[in-house]
Amino acid sequence: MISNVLLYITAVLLVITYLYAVIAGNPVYSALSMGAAFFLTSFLFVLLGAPFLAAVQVIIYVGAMLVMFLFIIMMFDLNKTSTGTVRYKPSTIFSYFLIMVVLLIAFFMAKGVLKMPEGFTIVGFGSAENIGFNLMRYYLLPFELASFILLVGVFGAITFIKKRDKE
Amino acid sequence: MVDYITVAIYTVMSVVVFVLILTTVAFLTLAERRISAFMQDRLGPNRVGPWGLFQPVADGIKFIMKEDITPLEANKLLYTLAPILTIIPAMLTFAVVPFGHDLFLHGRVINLQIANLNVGILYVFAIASMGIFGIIIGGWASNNKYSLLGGLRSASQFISYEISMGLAVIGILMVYGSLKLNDIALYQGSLWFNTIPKWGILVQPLGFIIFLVSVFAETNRVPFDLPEAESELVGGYHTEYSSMKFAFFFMGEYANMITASALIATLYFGGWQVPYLHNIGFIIPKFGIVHMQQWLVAIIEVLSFVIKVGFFLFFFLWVRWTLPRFRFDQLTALGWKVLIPLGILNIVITGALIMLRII
Amino acid sequence: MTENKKKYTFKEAVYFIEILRGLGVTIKHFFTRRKFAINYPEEKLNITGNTQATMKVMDKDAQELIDRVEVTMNYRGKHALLVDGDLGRCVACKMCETVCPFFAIYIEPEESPDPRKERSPKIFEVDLTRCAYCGYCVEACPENAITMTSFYSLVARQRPELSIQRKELRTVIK
Repeated sequence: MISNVLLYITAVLLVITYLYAVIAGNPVYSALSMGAAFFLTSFLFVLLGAPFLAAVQVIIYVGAMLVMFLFIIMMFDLNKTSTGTVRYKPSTIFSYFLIMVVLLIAFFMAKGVLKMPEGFTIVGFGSAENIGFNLMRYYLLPFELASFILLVGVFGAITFIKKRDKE
Repeated sequence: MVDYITVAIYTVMSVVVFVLILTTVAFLTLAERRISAFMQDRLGPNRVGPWGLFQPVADGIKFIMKEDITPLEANKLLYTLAPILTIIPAMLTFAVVPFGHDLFLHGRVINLQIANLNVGILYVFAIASMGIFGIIIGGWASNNKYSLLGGLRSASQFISYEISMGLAVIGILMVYGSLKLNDIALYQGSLWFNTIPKWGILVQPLGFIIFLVSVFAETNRVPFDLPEAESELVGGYHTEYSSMKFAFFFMGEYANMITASALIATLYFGGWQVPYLHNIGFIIPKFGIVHMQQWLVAIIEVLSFVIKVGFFLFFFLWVRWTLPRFRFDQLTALGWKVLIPLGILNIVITGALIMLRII
Repeated sequence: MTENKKKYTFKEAVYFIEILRGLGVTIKHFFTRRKFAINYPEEKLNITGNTQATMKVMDKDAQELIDRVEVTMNYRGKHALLVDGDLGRCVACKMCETVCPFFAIYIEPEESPDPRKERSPKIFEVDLTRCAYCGYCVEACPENAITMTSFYSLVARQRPELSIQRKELRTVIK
């Protein structure tokens, strides 16, 4: 009961914070709003009984990515360029809307597949042990492939920097 | 069914821990000044009360009485928010640090730990990563070039060293096989070759050095205090701050130091463990058992934890008054080119040793 | 850059061992610290210790002055007007007043009640807030009457308290 109420409050706050992240004119506000949203997402994971995901969400998104965002924003001092809220072109808003509709359709189509059976619980669901066990036993190949893709990304970034150095 | 007595016990415990941290912070400011003085053949503040013990009170009163200045061009909201964002995570992190073995009282199990989360160490990392925002935002919102530089340095330093810190901790997790800090502390009581306790420093010496260096960088202490380098950046991220807002930054730094010391003690020095001390008393192999009451054991354990944390707090101060500050390129080079490869090497070695069943 | 790079020995390159050595130095000072600072109001620096009595004011009474008035060769503190027994040395010639670069001395002469000298100061005032303790007055004095002591604790709540009169300046030497 209480967790349901908290869930809805969190969901509403999530929508507000993400929306503000998009429309805020000041990029620092935007980034901080996104940080709040990341944090709320991790709270959502806690409510769903996945503390490991919650912790990792905060560590990676808030601790690494957002710090990086803020670093870049402050480095280039973007705050002088704009104040108030961003005004989007109608075409942009329309394309955003279309993407949202597509995602919603996809969500409702997948709902039947994703739906958990009633009373379905795993002992220690979402715990670090369980995730590690599954990741290393059943999903080892996708896991390693994902890490390989990230590695390629790192190489790409380094290549770009090297190229610029030569010029 | 909620057990109200248990809830009450934990509430009291958290309040006590909170107050103790704040008190320690207050006396750390004094300790820093006096210890630095002793190391430089000076006397330090010794006027207020015996041995200057009331100096923190005087400082506190001074901070409250001072004028709270907000720069005209500063971002008011974020400028006010930054000190709060610094001190809250600094206080929160201590929640998962265990300071004693479980107590059994009238059929209840009381952890001597505020929250025994099953993500333990990850929680510490998550909350610590929030703590950096206070500094970054404070640096930006002050609208001062020195503050901004301090914030930027802090951000890049934090990102660099969090990775090596995580890599060092992975070694510990591989050896002890749990994320819970209480379990990690508990396993360190088990014996190696039936004689030596398996403390983290013995099992993971390389990991310990990496962790120690990273922790110094994470808490912005010398030799990694570039975000507030006085000689370069005036005051760094808190240049514009005064009064209680500045005090919050200051307290946040010291609270972070306490948590860092507690973490070093828990991960690498057995936490509350005293060698050969178990629930029922000392069990020394080949010699026998010395029986002890449960409360006596608990007191000894908490005392051992406090002594370990106290030593590392002293160590923080000791290092501060010994080493000069790193240059910024040296700092990042050390983080990325030395500590991270060493961290990976440490993981590989640990894995091999575990496979060989040596650890 | 690279050619100027200093060659480090292995011990220095690792840096960690050198850190430990540095820590050793600081902890040594922590436990066996030499005493340089003094707790000022309770303990006082002994300024009178280092004297070679060559200053002209000290002449024959040097040792006695050092013992009783805390006059030193090196230190220039609060002024003193010397008195031989019952006779003040000062003849109110105003030499010190004239030589004083800061106009810190004010003298009002009067006819001496004592037949052994003609003039004596009615008012002899030294404004210590103006004085720079240069010692010119001591140099200028033909009678070796004014001198400077090692008294350095010049603290007052109000400015007039630092303007000292003849009575406070008097120092008996015999």
